[in-house]
Amino acid sequence: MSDEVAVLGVGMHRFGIFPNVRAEEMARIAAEEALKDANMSFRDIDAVYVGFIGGSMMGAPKVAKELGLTGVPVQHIENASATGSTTFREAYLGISGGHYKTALCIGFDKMEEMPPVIGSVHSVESTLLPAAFFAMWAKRRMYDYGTTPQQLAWIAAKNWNNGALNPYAHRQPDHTISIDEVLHSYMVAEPFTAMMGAPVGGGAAAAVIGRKELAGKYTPGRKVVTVAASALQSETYQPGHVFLGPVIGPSQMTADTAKEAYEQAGIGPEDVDIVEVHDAWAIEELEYYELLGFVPRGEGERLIDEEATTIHGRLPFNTDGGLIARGHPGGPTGLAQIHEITLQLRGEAGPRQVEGAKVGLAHMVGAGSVCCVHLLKV
Amino acid sequence: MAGIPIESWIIDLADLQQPRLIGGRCTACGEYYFPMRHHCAKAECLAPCEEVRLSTRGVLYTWTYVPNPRWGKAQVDKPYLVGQVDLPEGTRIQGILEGDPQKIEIGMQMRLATTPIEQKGEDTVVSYCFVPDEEGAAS
Ligand SMILES: [Zn+2]
Repeated sequence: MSDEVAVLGVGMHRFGIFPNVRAEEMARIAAEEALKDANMSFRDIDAVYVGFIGGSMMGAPKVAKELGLTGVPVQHIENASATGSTTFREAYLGISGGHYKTALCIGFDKMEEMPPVIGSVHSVESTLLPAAFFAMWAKRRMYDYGTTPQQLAWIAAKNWNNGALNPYAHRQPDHTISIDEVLHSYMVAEPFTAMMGAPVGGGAAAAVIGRKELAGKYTPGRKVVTVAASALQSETYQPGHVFLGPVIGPSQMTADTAKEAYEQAGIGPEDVDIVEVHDAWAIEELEYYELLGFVPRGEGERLIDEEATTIHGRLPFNTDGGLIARGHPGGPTGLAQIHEITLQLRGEAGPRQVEGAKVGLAHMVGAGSVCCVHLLKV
Repeated sequence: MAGIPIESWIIDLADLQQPRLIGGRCTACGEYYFPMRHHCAKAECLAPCEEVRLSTRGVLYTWTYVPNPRWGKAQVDKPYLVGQVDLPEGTRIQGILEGDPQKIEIGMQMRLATTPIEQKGEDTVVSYCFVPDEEGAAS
């Protein structure tokens, strides 16, 4: 059943700081690219899901209107960092449930223009800093497993260097980023230096999805990427649960959501060829090596020491640069992951291409409170 | 230090000598929560919680030092410490720490205190914080 929904087209506006391009313009450009990639007109779209965190009321129809007034259902979806992933999931549910034949997902944001406060100004939560909470996760892991700053820097450097190969990445360094360069950028929150975290910027990403048979009609001869699983979960109560303040959420949430996705698809981690994860900070990618089931608890560092997660390694992670280099504007991030996995599975990822990739996993966490995992395959 | 709590449903300053955090305790399974909540969070329980004052001492689970505050720190613009403290009742509290960054270590005893956030006329608005508990560590 789930094999019947396909990714028909993908498009992006580069992530980064673009003072002269309005966020809605980026959204339109990404949507036009996705429609062009699907070889479709906006007339062929049955429903529109628009994801953003920082936009205005009725921002969704405003973006859709630019593409045409066709009367189709248009709605706004917000799920913190998992916003784009959730637009994709809602579109998937609409199609697999038989309500629509096609849907357009559009995500956009300009994080640099968002107010910096979590919670109201006069709250305990507004006195705390999100980056610090990922740093505390890293500190505890260093205490429990002896993880080194060099290992965290290796992940960051890998993702920066992947970004150099991605024309849509916010960070496209003009030289090879070394572990030393990452370690010597300024300290943000111990043990994190600035280069170990995602940049603040904007951008847009879009995807056309629809019934699988439409791929043969609109883009004959091209490999068809299908949705093998779509899972969305929220937290379950865990020992040491933190309720107040910006939180990273319980690790168990990623493990549980991934398990649900693997079961839906009838596959296991050993069948996955490429992975995109929420690496807002380098510690996350390391944790997700384990939580997504690729190595047992406490053995993530082994993948680093073996350099297994580079583009040419046996388990490439964040081939497009991940949040650290491709960027993380908010709304479009999850759709940028779908964009990358789709190109990889079709064999169209150019210098980033992972040879023979057949199954890709996309993972996002939203405000430590929701987790979304998709499995795509060819 | 006396003052006005930044959020009065979270911090109890009635005792000038000893700030208290306001939490919840499940009336069925006994689990403790911070802050106060009205339903037990465990999927298999969900029973009502009653309001309690939580312990004022605990053990540092993790922490970090932020020398360059950016992104999201609206009210404090100087370097600061933040951590998570495990109370004896099993509740993990996340918040600001005060002390010497060179001397903070995972596993050390901490005690609850207050930290000034802003001045409102005559009054100081305060939040809670944890400081190394020399007495607790010695005992
Ligand atoms: Zn209970």
